Amino acid sequence: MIPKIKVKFFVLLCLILPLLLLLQGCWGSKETDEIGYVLLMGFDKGEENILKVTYQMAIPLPVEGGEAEEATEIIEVEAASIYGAQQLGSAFVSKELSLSHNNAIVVSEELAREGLSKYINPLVRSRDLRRTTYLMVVKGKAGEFVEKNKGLIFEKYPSRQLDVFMSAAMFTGFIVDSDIHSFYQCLKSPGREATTGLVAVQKEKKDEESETEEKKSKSNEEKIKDEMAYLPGEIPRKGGNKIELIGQAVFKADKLVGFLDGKETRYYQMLTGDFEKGIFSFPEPKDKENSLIVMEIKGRNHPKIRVKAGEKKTVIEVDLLLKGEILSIQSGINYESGTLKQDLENYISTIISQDVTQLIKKTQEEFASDIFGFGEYTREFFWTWQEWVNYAWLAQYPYCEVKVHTFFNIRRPGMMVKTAPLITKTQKRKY
Amino acid sequence: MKFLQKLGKNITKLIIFNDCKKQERFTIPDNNNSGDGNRNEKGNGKNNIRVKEAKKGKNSRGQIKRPVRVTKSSLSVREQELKKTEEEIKQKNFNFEELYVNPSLDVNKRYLDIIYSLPKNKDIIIREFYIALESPLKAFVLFIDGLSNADIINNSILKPLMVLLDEGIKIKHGEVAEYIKEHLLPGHDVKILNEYRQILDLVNYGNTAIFFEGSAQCLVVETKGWERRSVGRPEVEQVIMGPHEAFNETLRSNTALIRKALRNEQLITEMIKMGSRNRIDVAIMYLKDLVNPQLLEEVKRRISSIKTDYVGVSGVLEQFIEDSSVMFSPQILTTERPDRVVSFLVEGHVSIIVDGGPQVLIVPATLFSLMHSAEDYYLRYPYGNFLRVLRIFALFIASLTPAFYVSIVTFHQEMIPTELILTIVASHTTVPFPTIFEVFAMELAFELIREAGVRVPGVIGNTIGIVGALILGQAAVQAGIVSPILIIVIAITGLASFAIPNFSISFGFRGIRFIFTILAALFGILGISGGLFVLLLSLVNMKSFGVPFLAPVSPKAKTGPDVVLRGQLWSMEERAAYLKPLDKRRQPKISRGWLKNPQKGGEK
Amino acid sequence: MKKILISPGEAAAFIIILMGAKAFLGYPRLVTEWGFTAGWLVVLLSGLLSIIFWLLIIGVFSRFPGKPLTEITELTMGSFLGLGINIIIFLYVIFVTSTILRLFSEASTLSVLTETPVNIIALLFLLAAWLAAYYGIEAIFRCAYFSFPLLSIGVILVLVLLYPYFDLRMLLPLTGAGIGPVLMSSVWGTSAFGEAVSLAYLARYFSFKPQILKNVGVFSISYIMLFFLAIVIVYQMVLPYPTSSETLVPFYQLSRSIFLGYYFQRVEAAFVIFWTFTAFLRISAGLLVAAIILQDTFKLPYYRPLLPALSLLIFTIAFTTDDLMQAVNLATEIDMVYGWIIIFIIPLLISLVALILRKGDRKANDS
Repeated sequence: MIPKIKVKFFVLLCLILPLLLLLQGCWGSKETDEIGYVLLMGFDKGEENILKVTYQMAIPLPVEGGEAEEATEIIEVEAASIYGAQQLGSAFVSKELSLSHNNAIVVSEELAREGLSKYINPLVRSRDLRRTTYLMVVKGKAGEFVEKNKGLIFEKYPSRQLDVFMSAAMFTGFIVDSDIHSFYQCLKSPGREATTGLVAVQKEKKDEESETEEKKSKSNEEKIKDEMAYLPGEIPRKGGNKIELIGQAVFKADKLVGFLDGKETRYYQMLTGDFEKGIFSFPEPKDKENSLIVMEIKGRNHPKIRVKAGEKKTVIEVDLLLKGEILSIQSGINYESGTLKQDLENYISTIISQDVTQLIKKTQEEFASDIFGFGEYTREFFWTWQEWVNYAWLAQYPYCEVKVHTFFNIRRPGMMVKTAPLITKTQKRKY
Repeated sequence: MKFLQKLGKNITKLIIFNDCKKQERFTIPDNNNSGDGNRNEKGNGKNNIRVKEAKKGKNSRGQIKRPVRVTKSSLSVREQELKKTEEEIKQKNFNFEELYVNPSLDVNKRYLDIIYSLPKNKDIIIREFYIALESPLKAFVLFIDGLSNADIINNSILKPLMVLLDEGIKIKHGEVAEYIKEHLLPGHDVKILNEYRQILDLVNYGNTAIFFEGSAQCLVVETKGWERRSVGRPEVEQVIMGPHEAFNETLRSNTALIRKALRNEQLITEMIKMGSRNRIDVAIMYLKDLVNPQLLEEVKRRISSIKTDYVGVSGVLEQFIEDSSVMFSPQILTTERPDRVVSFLVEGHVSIIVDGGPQVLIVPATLFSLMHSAEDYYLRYPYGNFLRVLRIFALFIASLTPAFYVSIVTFHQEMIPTELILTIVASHTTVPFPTIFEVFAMELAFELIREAGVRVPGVIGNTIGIVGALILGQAAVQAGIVSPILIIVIAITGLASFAIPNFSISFGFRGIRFIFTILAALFGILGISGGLFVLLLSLVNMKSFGVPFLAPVSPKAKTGPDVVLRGQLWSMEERAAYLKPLDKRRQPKISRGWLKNPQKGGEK
Repeated sequence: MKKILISPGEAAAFIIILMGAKAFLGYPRLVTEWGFTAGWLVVLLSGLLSIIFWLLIIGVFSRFPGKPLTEITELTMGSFLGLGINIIIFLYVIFVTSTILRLFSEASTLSVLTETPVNIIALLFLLAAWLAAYYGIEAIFRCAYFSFPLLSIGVILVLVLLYPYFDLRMLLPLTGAGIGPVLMSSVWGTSAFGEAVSLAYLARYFSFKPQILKNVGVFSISYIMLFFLAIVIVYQMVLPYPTSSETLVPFYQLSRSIFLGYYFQRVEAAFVIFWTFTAFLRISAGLLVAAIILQDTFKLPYYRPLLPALSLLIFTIAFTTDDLMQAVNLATEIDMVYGWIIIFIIPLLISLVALILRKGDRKANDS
């Protein structure tokens, strides 16, 4: 008889050996230096192939010593699909490209006008890429955008650059926090249309002459009012990063139909309730050409939006609730208190209501696209999903009547309670 | 046939080299002693019934045979008996319980010569003297030099009996021992014995035996006095607020320390002798009106049923009586502080003190009591709880951090913020080994440093510790063998394992760390999850003397607010129900009497 | 063999894990497919309906104190029919456990370990489950009791961290697909709570009376109903209707969407621990329940020798379908759409038969 212990040992060995096979390779584990981390991705219409993808890849800087030349590397590949481009990329980059640290995806205007739904699908289904990556439209070429994305700040540590950019821009209200998730959601919802942020590279000096003439013909009042009304790439400036993040791209279904400039973006955010704060300039009510008042306006509460069925048309009623702080009164008139304050508040409310109504009308007439999501407020009137879908809000939207009312309060006058009048030096003083 | 054999032999001699005369090195010859380790087991003597009767004839097992009658006797009957007894004593399996003190002093002396192998054995001293009675009585003292206190022997035994006796004391024949014990011998602990086994046990422990001529009894006086360490500071379990006394290696001082702190008549110390070659005392202390009688029975049963030759340290005893010796976590709590022992006794636990080491075993133990330290109770409520929470973090960090590092860096790189991962990549590019190898190498290095730090002699110890850790880490990073983040990970893991109060369990969790790292390398976070699952299963299944290891959480038992976090001391009203003590209530509902009449303070 | 006594808390925890593991697989998606935006209504209604079913089933227990449902089946329906019914229930439990094994392994492949072959992961799950079932009933129950608060906290954490996405309008229109489809789907949805009936099959090991058993069942079903409700509501708010019917593993997708700033994103790997732990517990529990049902059906003294065979059976059934979509569809078909018949209606019939034929120990009822 085989002694008991030997049998046990043998059996144990037979059980362990297969387990050792598990150690032969840990499938799926990758060392950190085998992966190339892509920080920014751009989609363009390709010349030689369907799609041109531009990657900004991070180059890790050595910890101690060593020269740091470039912190990023720009790679361009042309392929028929996004994944194809990623695969081809690994052919000439010594690492495997990974999109897990990707911050943003920028799509060129051309591609967006054709329709994004074919590209949204791989982005949403992807394992690597998250739905929380920013999605933006580039007015121009995406490849150029990715290449020209250079500034002195964050040059060596590019990973945080776009995020800080976005968060800075978000609290001035210039750009919308648009990610793949919100885009996809708005795409599929019968009550809303999609919109993304708009970016561009600073325009070259060549086109300036014709435009400056146009701009010079504006009156001061208009200039004051349109202070922020720039599309990206057109801000008159020098220095800083070559790219500009301001404005919004409006979509109808999955096709790009138009742009909103900086001023309109801020009003858009007020309507959706995402507006945090922004600095607005208004022409001085008593002297519209020469001086202005600067206010910091913050959203007080979520705007109250009601969609009602009127006699002939559906009526959208919007109540904007805002509060403000005085930053500058150039004329020195004491708007901080008393009836003057009331007047100023009414004046500003009127201006804002007018501008917002104009914006909504623009989306109705020019774009025929409800990017504000008024349709979502109609959900409560229906019992089943099918009924709501049949109601087809998006087709009715262009024919709705819009009433906007702004409730604006000046909460704080800044650091000064009033402005003492300026005594002109030529006046003789009467003792 | 024979020729062929011879031929074969010669050929082998030729082929294999000339059988040069190898110098016979000394090898321990195999002595076919039955040796089941226990010399003096009852029933191993004459009454031992062997299974195979056929082998009765063989004498190789050293059985006690029927005494051989010496037919031709040139010796007197007495001599014959003496010879017989001496033969018996020489047998290794002699049952000492059957040897009694002989009235004749010479016979006793001869017995002792054989038992202790005198005069070869220089430690044992036999000092003969005459007791100054009316008719001087011959006697001798037996003690072990070094174990007994010579002063006591001189002043309390020899002096009074030899010098300080009054004139004219007569003792009746059969009462020698008793009379001397009651009237003449000023020793505080004197016993009258006549069985050699008991006498020898006591003499081996430092007592002195006095044999008298003509008396079949002998007196054993307590004269312990050997060099011992005084009560010192705790080496392992130090606290900032609280007593700084620790046990030492002597049983009596240890029991004294406990008695000093717990002054209660119900505190009982039972002694059990253990070990066949060593025969040391194991003391079991408990509070009689509190401890569950079945628990006590079980403890005594386990201890007394252990048959081995040497149990000198509590760690050895712990491994003999614990429920599962394979599990990574200890099931018995060891401590070297008397105050901790007392707090456990008051809850209804049983403590086991082994003579020879400063660690005391507390039984039963649950995972939560292993994670508590003495300081939690001495500090105020917020600080105590802060320490407890910190310790739980330390537990998780000590076992899981390297595993998490490996799994995140190799499987889930997206979890780390981008800057950090770029730094890791940058430092990893120069490293020629995969991450798992790095981790294991650094772990091994850390364990080596730790072990070396314990073994290195004190003078160089501190320097090497600091130098080793710092420079090893720094040099490794600069040589490009490991990445700097890994050094931090390993250092934090090591520090966290020091924060666990109980040494055994910290060892256990340190060991698990390796298993978790392997699982993480194979299966990423799924492996860690599976490892945690199996860990929890094994913890839940463990029992410590009948108490489930994760009580009072796992089988839910009523207990005071002292499981993970500590409640206020005045709210700990009930004892832990999983011990099933005889008295469940610790404090009345309102334990702070001054709250009943808050205004009355200072009135008298 | 020492009598195993399980306390009510441990039994409730066990059943909660048994039912709740589904929430990490396709259950939220299924519910929104059936009810469109009224998925939460489906959950609510099916929860209430299962409580009613459970109370009806447990009504018969007071007649047979301390006996598990397998014995009661045999006593009421006769030995032949009873055997058949017990075997059907046993097969159902095995099937559900194998689909869960398959789906969890696929989910792990999808989310955590992309390259590892699915069978190795399933093997890992099964080995741990075998070990757990081998350790015994007490081990798994206590493990569940110890860990279910931590798992609940993990789930709640994920849900709470998604607050930037909360938008209650996404839950309107109220009745989603319409009252009719919603009611129909709630009947199908009761299969999600079907595992509560395993309490009845494990009655022999409990230390409490049928009265308390009823309370334990009601408590666990309502707890799980609230949990499912929370998960489904958050799921519908974060991923509104049409998109919610698209994801394969809804909970994982939810944890992927957590974005509270630059430094707190991409944290889904941390939450993987929670649902893989639940997976381990669920599969061990399933294996245990199947083994005990088989043991009681054939009146065997121990269930441990059955474990290797049962593990192999589960493994084989789990990998009969080649591709994932087939497995998902099969799971939906048999587990959800028809499962309620097997797991609720059959015991209900048995209790009705017992009631009608007045079988049982009347003595216990009268005392």
